[in-house]
Order: sequence, then C-alpha cells, then structure tokens
Amino acid sequence: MDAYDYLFKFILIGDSAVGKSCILTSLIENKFKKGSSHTIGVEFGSKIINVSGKRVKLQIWDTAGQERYRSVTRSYYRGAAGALIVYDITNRDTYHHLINWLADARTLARADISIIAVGNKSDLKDKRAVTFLEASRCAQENEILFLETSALTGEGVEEVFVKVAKMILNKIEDGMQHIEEGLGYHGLFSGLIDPATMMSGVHAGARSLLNEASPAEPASRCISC
Amino acid sequence: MAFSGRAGGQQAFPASHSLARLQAFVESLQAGRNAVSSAAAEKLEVAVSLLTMPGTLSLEQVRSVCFYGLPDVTPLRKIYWMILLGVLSPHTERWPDELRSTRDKYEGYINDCIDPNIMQKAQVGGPRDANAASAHSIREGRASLSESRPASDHPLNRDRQGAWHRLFEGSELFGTIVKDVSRTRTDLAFFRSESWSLPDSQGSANGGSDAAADGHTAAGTSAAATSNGAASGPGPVSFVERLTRPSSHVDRMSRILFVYARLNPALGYIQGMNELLAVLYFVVHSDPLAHDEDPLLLEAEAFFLFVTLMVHQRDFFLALDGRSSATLDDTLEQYAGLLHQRDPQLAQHLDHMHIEPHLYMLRWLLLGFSQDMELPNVIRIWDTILADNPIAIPDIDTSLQTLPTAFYIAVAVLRVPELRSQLLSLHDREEVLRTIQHFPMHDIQQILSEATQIRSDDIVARRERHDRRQQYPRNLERRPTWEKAKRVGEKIIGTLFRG
Ligand SMILES: Nc1nc2c(ncn2[C@@H]2O[C@H](COP(=O)(O)OP(=O)(O)OP(=O)(O)O)[C@@H](O)[C@H]2O)c(=O)[nH]1
Ligand SMILES: [Mg+2]
Repeated sequence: MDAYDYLFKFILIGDSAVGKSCILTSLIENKFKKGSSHTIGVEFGSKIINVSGKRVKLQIWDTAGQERYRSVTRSYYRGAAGALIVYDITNRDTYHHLINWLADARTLARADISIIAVGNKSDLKDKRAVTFLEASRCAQENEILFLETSALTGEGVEEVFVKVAKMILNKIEDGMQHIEEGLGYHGLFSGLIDPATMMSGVHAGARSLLNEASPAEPASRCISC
Repeated sequence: MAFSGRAGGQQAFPASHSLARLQAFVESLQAGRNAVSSAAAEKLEVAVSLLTMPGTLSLEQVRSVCFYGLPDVTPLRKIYWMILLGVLSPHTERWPDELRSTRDKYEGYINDCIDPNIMQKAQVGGPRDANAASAHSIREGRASLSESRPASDHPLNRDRQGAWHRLFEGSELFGTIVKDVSRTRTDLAFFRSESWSLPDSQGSANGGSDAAADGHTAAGTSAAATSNGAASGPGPVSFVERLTRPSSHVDRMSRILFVYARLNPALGYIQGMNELLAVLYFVVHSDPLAHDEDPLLLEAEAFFLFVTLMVHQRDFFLALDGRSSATLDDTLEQYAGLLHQRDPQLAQHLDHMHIEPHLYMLRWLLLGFSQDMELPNVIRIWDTILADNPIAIPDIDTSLQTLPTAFYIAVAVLRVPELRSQLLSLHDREEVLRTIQHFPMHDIQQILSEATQIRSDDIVARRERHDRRQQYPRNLERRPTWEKAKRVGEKIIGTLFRG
C-alpha cells in the first residue's frame, strides 16, 4: 500500500469527447491514449502527487459526458472534494455548457467543492474557438480556477490536479474543510443515495503509521510547486 | 437528386442471395476439406447441414449449435444470428423473400427519416412517393420486429414540427452519432477506412461496382477519391449528403443508428449503441462473400440485426435514465444471490467493500462485453449470449427462469483465478473497481466453460427450489389455521381454568 497524507476524491466532468478520459490517462500513464472509446458510466483512476510537501492520493472518477448517462454519473458526485470541468477549446458548445456542469457540481457534490475549469486540446491552436481570456474571465466571475491543457502533449495536465489539490489543502489548513471518515456507495440504477454512508471525499492518510514499512512510490512526473 | 432517383427506380434484386452464396461457399470448402482440422470440419458440417436441411429449422437445434460457438466461417454466423434474433424465420424457403423485404423496408425507412426533399415537400405538401409509402406496409413481420417499431413510433410526422426544425435536429443527431462512430473500434483497420468507398447501388451508374470492395485494405481509395472526393476530404459535407450517399463504413453505421434513433424516439441514440452495432456490422461485412454483395442489403441486414438485438438490450439502456424496470432490479438481485452461492468468499469481500454489482456490470450488460474484449472474443461470446433461451420452468413464478447468459458470464469473469486472487488481496474500494474494469478478458474459453457450468448448476438449483415450493404451499395453508386453532383453544382453556 502506498503511503499518503491525504486522500481526495475528484470528479472529471464535462461534455462528451472533450478529452476527460485522455486527461486521466495522461496524468496516470504519462501518455496519450489514441483511439479510445467513450466512457460508459464511470471509470476510476488514482495517483499520488506531492503538494506543498504533502503526499496526496487522488482518487479520480472519470464520468461519461453524454446527457443520457447523467443520472448514472450524478450519483458519483456525492462527496467529491474537487471537480475538473472540462471543455474543448475548439468547440464553443462545450464551453457554453460549462455553466450547467458547474451548477451540477455545486448542488450534487459538497458545498465547499473546489472546482477548476479546464480548456482541453490546447495543442489545436488553429482550431481554437474559445479564447484564453474569455474563459479565464468566466472562471473568475464564477469563482473557480482555470487552466488550459493538452492531453496530447501533456501540457498543463498535472498542474490542473495540483492546483485543485492545493486549494483543498489550503482549506483544510484554514480549518474550513472537515476531514471525515467513512466509506459509502450509491445506488446506480435506483439513483438512491444513502446520506448516512456517503463518502466525504477527503480522508486523512495513514502515512505516519506506514511510512517506515512501505516506502512511497516516487511520483512519476516532477511537480514544481 | 441522386438519392430519390435511386429510390424511385426499383432495382432488380440480385438473384444470388446469401443462402445461394453460402451453399456455393460450403461446396468450395468441402472440396478443399483437408485444409481444415477434423474438429473444425465436423463443427462446420453440423452447422451447415442444419441450415441446408429441407423444411423448417428447429430453433432449438439452431440455438444449441450456436451456444457452443459457431465455426469461424462468417457467412454462417451471420445467418445463424439472423435466425436467433428473428430477422430470418426458420422457414428457409422464405429467406429470399425475407431478405428482399429487409432491404426494401430499410430503404423505405431511410427515405422517411432522411428525406432530402424535406424542405421542398413541406412547402409543396405533395403526396409522398410510392417508395416511402411502402415502408408502412409491413410484410408479415415477426413479433420482435413489429414490436420494436410500433406504427405510432414513426418519425415521419412533419405536421407536428416544422421541416426546418427537423432538419436542424437531424444534423445535430447525426453529428453526435458520427462523433462516436468514428471513435468506435479504431484499433481495427476495417472501421478506420474512413475514405474508402463502398460501391453503392448508385455505383452501378458510374461503374462503381468494380471499385475494390475490400474493407481490410484501402485498395479502393483511388477510385473512391475521384467519385466521392467530397466525402473523403475534410471539407464540410452536409449531413443529408452523407446520409444519402454514404461513402464509408463510418457513414453507413452512422446512418443505421440515425434511422434507428428516428424510428425509436423514446430511446433515441445513446452512447454504447455504436459499440453493439459495430459487432453486428462487422459480422455482416466480414463475410468473404460480402464484397460483391449489394451494400444496401448488407447495411439492411446489419440494421435489422441491430433493431432485434435492441429489443433485448432496451431495458439496460432505459435504466440509464432512471427508468429502471422492476425486472432489471430483480435480475441484479438474483445475480448477487448467485455470486454468493458460487463464491461466498469473494461475494462477501465485495459486499464488504460496497462493490454493488451494478457498479461494474453496467458496461458489461449494456455493451455485451464488447468494450472489454478483443473483437473475435466478443463475437464468440455473442454466439452464446444470442443462443440463450431463458429456461422457463413451467410456473408463473418468474424467479424460476434462468438469468440472461451475460449474468452467468459476469460471475465467470470474477471467478477467473487471476482476477479473483487479485480482488481478494485488495482493500481499497476504487482499486477493486478499477481492477475489475480493466481486467483483460483474454481467456474466453475458460470464462465460457465456467459460465456454462454455473448456468447448468443454477438450472438444477432452480428446479429444486421449484419442487420444494410445490410442496410448501400446502404446509403454508395448514400451518396458519392450525396455529390459529391452537391459539383459540389455549385462550378458551385459559379462561376456563382461570375462571
Ligand atoms: N488534439 C487533441 N485531441 C484530444 C485531446 N484530448 C482528447 N483528444 C481527442 O478527443 C477525443 C475524445 O477524447 P476522450 O478522452 O475520449 O473524451 P471524453 O471527454 O472522455 O468523452 P466521453 O467519455 O464520451 O465523455 C479523442 O478522439 C481524443 O483523441 C487533446 O488534448 N488534443
Ligand atoms: Mg471518457
């Protein structure tokens, strides 16, 4: 088992085909997955990153973007500490939908969820349909973070996760975010959620107990922060 | 317009339909029999002789041949699947008619759904052409077919909404579909051949039939590039143009899904349908005899295979919208019970981690494992899934029916020793889910033989339960009355003695 100080639950949301799964693959495997299919339901990924001297384990839930999967994917929002709302910089529609995803995240996850808007496919410069400036203004107005990424080149990918994790850490240190224990599950077909067993999205790790016995796996990409 | 022109001029149906071709093919195989291993030859012999027997086929036999896997001679598989799903009837002598009607019906649907003259017609309000009208005359459709397409579901309802609105809607729908279809199974050259042109029935006019009809290579590219330059280039081709003159497998698969979505507005297009279709479409087209077959007939075959498959998959897709059916919930519950019976240790471990079956089953069930296996394995596993006939033990109690085969396969997957031991060693919920989701299902034989075993054990268990239940009701009847009498008696005795 890897040792870590904190465990954060993240959700990856946004329209279909904006590149959510590619961002996840880029983060975890450091490579661009070509020809991948759309996500059915939810997929999982996890990675330990270093943030402000702390080892943070990210537990990332990559969701299906298509409207028709919304009632399935929504049941996984509960308790997420961080959300990445991804749009495609070459497709204005996906940018316009950002606001809907934002509302979803705020109502379905936790009130103090930390959110970042992610403009993906930044490598497709000549097809750009959403400017950096307008997106960053929009993010500011809605009080969320903003970055552009390219899952293809890997540019910005790790920064996005680090940025959100940092924000959560700050909240914890300010005593704003509570650390809770408990593991939960959510009904998928029924859409029923049991609040008593819901997941908090933030857990304290057991590093102090484990760090001697199991040396932590070195982070595969160096983080500068 | 080219499309309506073709639709109007009813082409003579090619005399050589699939069955005749199959027979020729089988003869050629039999001539070179020694090339095949004896086991394979025997399998082939059984599968072929069943189809070529005179008279009406026994569906039971068709199922049992298919259940254990068809020989990889693809025209056979296509025919078997069409029988199993009900596209072809068990009456072999009707097949030529049935195939022709398949093609005609599909062409009619295309006309109705796409209608290149949609704007003109809305303005003129003239009568529909004869061909479009023929789509409504359903020729002795079998239950499954007519069930999936009730007359009221028909999309041709221009009165309700403006033509422009529909056109806009159509282009949006088509765009969504194309986006998904063009990232379906891109690991196979067959599905990537975006620029490769199929000789359309339209093609006979411009000599298109000699364009190499080989999906596995891009041999036809040069011919295609000249005749279909617009579609192969990146330039924007109007969706109507792409729908009426498909120039690639991607276009044709998209058209199938488009027509299906239009015919079934309650379901529409949902991601995952493309994956199911890809399997069927591949089976239809990978037939070595398919190359000089009428492409519209092949497309129609894939379409009807898809429509009939969706009759079975519908519940799973509806569940996505929270329109969960009681049957599905019940089936999932039974599945959980089955897992407990089969492997209590693993089941308890998963329970302990709160790994509810639907968390990992959703994709498996929706897509029939098609995103989790290599295509040849998917096809093999579908032989078994499609051959499935829930064994109903004669009783009104539906819990005595066997589960759909996919559920037995799901248990079998978890029982693969490699995966099982890995799962038991994990104590992190997401790790467990991730491991299940990413498990490469390579050893298909192992999975299938375990699934078959689980299934037959389950049949035995259900029979026993049924037999027990047959006796139990009598006890039930007796016990309450006896108990009641005893209570009344005690009461009387009590009062007597106290008094
Ligand atoms: N050029 C470029 N293409 C990308 C990038 N990220 C993703 N893509 C492409 O965009 C398409 C969709 O990527 P996915 O990661 O599957 O999209 P998704 O958001 O997970 O989609 P759903 O699972 O349907 O919700 C794929 O064809 C990728 O190759 C990127 O950074 N640059
Ligand atoms: Mg995805």
